[in-house]
Amino acid sequence: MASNLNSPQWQSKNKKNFETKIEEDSVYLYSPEHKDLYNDVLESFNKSDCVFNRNLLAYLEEESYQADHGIRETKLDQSFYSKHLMSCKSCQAKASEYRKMKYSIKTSLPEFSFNEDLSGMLESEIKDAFDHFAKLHDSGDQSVSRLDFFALFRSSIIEFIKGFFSSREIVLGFLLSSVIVLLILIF
Amino acid sequence: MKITSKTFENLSYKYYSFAFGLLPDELMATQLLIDSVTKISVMNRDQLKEEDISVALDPRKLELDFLKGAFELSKIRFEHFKDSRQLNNFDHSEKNSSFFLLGIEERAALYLKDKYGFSFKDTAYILGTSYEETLALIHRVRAEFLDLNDHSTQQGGIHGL
Repeated sequence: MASNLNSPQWQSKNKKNFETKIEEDSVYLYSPEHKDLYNDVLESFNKSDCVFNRNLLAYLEEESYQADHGIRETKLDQSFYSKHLMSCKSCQAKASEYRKMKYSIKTSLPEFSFNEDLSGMLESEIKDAFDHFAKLHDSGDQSVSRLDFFALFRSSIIEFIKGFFSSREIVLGFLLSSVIVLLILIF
Repeated sequence: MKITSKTFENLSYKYYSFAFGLLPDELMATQLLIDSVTKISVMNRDQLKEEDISVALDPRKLELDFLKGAFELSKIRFEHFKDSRQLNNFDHSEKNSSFFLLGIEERAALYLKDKYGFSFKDTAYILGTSYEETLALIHRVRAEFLDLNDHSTQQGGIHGL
C-alpha cells in the first residue's frame, strides 16, 4: 500500500486532482463574471483604514527609537512608509494619534531626582564594590572562594613533595637519620 | 572607553529615576543601584581580572546588565517590603499616583520604553521576557496608564469644582 502511495504514477495523479480542485474552488476577483465581487472588496478596502495601518505602528516605533538614539539609518521598508505617510490620510491620522499618545505618556511619567545627601554613600559603596573585584588580580588575593583555596592548597602540597625529593641532601639526610634511629632501636 | 567605578557611578545617577520608580524610597533605590553594581562585578569577576577591562566588557551590554540586575533585585525586594510604610511613603500627587498604581513590571516596561527609549529587544532583555511578551506588555501598559491618567485628571476636575 505504502509503495503504491509513493509510486510516481499515484503522486502525479494526486497532484493533478489537487490542482483541479484548487482551480474549481478558486474565485478570480479580476475575472469579468465576478466584477461585482471585485468592486465590493475594493469598496470595503476604501471604506476601512489603510491596510498599512498595523505595520505603520511598527515603523513609527522604530522611527522614535532612531530619533531617541540619533540614528539616521533608513531601511528600505522605512523609506516606503515615510513616502506612504505623505499621501495616505488614514495613516497620517494614525501617526498623529500615535505621536500624541507617546508624548502624553512621556510627559506623564514622573521624574525622580537624586537626593544629593546620598551621593557620598553611593560613590564610596560603588567604588568599594567595583575595586574589590577589579583589583583581585593585582593584589594576588587567592582566597576569594573555597574553590580557589583548595586549588592553592593542592598545588602547594605537590610543590613541597616535588621539592623534597628533588633535593639530594635532604633525601640523604632523611636516609641517614632513618638508619641511626634503626640502629638505636636494635641496640 | 575604560570602565572604572566612575562608569558605574554615572550609570547610577542616570538610572536613579528608574530605581526609584521600582522602589519608591530614596535609601532603597540607592541601595538597589549599589547592589546592582556588586552583582555585575561578581558576574564579570573573571573579565574584571583582565588587565584591559575595556576589552573584556562591552559598555552597552554592561548598561543592560546593570538595569537587568536592578530590576531582578527590585522584584525580590518589592515582594518583601510591599506592605511596609517605607515603600508606601512616596509622594501621592496625581501624576505619581497613577504611575504607582501599575505593577512593578509594568512600571519598569513603561519607563524603559517610553522614558529612556530602549528598543523592544533591549527592554525584553532587561525584563527577562520574550520579545512578543514585551510587545504585548507595553501595548497593554500604555493603554492602562493613559486610562488611569484620564481618570485621575477627571477626578481632579471634579474635586477642583
